[in-house]
Amino acid sequence: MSSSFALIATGALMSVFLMMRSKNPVHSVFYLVLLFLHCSGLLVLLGLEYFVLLQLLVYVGALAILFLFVVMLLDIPSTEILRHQRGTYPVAGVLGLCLILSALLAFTQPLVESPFQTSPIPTTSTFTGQNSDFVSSSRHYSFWNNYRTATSTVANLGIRLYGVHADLLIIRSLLLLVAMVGAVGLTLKRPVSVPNQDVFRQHYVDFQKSLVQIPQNKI
Amino acid sequence: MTLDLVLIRPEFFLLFGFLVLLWYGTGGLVRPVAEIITVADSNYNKQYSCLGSSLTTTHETEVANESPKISYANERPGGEATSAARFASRPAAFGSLRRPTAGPNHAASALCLWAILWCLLCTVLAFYGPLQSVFLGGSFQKDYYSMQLCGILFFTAAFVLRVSLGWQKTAAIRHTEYVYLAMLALMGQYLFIQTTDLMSMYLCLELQSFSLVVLCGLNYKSAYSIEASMKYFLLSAFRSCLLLLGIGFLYWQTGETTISHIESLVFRTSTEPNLLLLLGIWFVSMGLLWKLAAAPLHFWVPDVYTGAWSSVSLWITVLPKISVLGFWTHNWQNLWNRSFGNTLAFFRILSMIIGALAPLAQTTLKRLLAYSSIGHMGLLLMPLCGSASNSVGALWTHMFIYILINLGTWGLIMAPMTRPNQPSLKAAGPQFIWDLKGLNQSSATAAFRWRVFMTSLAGLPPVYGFLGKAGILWRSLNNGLLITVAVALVYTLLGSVYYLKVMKVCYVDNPTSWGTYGKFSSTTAYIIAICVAFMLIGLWHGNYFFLLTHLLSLKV
Repeated sequence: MSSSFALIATGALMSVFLMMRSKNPVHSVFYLVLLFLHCSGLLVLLGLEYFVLLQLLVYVGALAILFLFVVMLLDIPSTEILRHQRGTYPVAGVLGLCLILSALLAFTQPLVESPFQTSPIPTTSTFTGQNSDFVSSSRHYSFWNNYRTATSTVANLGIRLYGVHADLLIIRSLLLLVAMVGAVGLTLKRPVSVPNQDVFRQHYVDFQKSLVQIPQNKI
Repeated sequence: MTLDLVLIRPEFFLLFGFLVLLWYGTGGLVRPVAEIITVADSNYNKQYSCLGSSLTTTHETEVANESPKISYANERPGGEATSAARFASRPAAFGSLRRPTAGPNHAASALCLWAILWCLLCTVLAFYGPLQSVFLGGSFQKDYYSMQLCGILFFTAAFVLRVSLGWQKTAAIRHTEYVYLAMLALMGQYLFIQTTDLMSMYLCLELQSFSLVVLCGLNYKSAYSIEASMKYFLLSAFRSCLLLLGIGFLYWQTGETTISHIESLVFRTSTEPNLLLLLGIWFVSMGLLWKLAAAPLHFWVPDVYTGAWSSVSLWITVLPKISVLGFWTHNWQNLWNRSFGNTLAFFRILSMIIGALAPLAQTTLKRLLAYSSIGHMGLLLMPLCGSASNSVGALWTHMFIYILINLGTWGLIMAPMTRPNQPSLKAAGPQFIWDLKGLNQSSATAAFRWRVFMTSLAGLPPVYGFLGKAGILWRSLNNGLLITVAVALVYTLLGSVYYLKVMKVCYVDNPTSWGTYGKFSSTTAYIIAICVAFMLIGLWHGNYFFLLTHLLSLKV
């Protein structure tokens, strides 16, 4: 329980509270984004860098922005939201009970192998090398992220994505280009009756001949 | 790193060329140009006419039909007598200023010309690339087989673009995106041939199918085109879902995405392969067969062919098949043969049955050709049964001849056509079979060409199409596929019926009114004539072709 965990957890709780209590749905979505950021901070503390990226990209980058757009598009007045919130207290109560129960179970541990806690990896000879008999007999537990000796997941991901398979990234970018060109091409109206912008006509305009100087006294 | 840089020259060239085309086509070179301010003034007129006289000498001919649309708002009332004379000379001067001094007036076909040049350069690069190696993180591999196929792919693409070039104005294709998307699809197909990895395979497949989806839908004023685009898009989305699932299974079971590694990991061990692994191979193969339009996965074909522009249909007929068959024979063949082997018989027999029966009921030329391409796919899947390299040679012989036939046939479809009951309306090409009624009387040459290509598609002896079919049947007999050969013979028999129906409409029918071909674009006509020449003399001078495909098959 480090101080940073306390800080981030408090921040997450605060943003949840603010998200629930804010009257304006747009503010609510912004607090949701803040909550996601705090969650990714918690994941950083656990050492799960890849999931941090996923959290940021998928939830913050895609989902929250989608929510924001939908909320802005629908433009729901807050009174209507409050009207629809009346029946939610029983549901919230059930969920809250579940939360309290699971937190209590996680702290008190009624069983030896509690399903509410991440089970530590039993240390075996393959992990520790020498003194295996002694270690395994004493049932020494250790968490999996203590065993990570290689470079971090994010570094590996970066090397794979931008180094080894950079070509695939470029092909992916071409795919996005196709999507963009296609979206424009499929929706662009090309009316026949109006003068079209002929690119080649514009290319071959000789600007020295198209500019005509008007004599000063005629302006 | 240096080796990589040397090796990816063609890719770099492709990408760079594409970006230049994009930049050029979207007007990156255009500077803002000040409009001409017209002031009806004697002084100004003098200046103007002297400008005009220097220009009209060069471009007198272009000017006459297009007068400028600039209104002379502030005319001076004075000097009427002289200005009348000046007015006479003004439109000419104006026209020469407003008209482009060089370059064609049809942006799409101008870009297309550049793209053709670019394809030909890429052909040379692919044929004469000196280094052959795995490159860029091992996802792609250049070797003799794939580079030769890439060269052929580019060469075919150049001709496919060229054959439709003169027709683009007739079909009202004035989308510069047409060229970009075609080139991007080509890039996907090019990389697809070289791919050795499931990830890159998926990306390349998506690149080409996305581009083709947009190409099908560009003509969005026609409901058929939208239907084609929607069908292609939705079905290819389902296909890629299954493909991704298959790739996921393969990765789950082996922890590898490189195909050769999967092969050596799984099939060189003694234990029976896992069910999930087999399922993965099955799904990926289904994705590939969907792209090839083999029979139970062919439902998108007729509608897409009907709805899309003929040039796009030609593109879909020829180019993805080269790339997918190249990938299959190069990388996927062993994996498929070890895991499923003879299951391919189901696909090819069903393809041939559908290719034999379905076109009998068709009235549209494009649908007829679509079903005939499904039947031909059944034939092309026949050599994939065994691992004998000779059968791959037979496959490519038939494929190359099929490309030639298709170039000619679609070239004949891409020519303006005037129908008897609507003489003012010029169709973009013959659409129904009965459009060809009495073609022998209106244009005997065109009728002869239809006859040659239809006979070739049927695979009957006096023309070149026979050679490919005979080679495939011969190889299949060698491999002992008696049932398949029997089905193929029945397919040929039934197929001849509807090809003969087209010929009957051209020659025998005595109509009261008939449609006539308009003016062929000269290059289209040349390409058709070359294809006809190949068809006619190929059967007696086909040695070089056989040697080429045999060499290819030895290098698989």
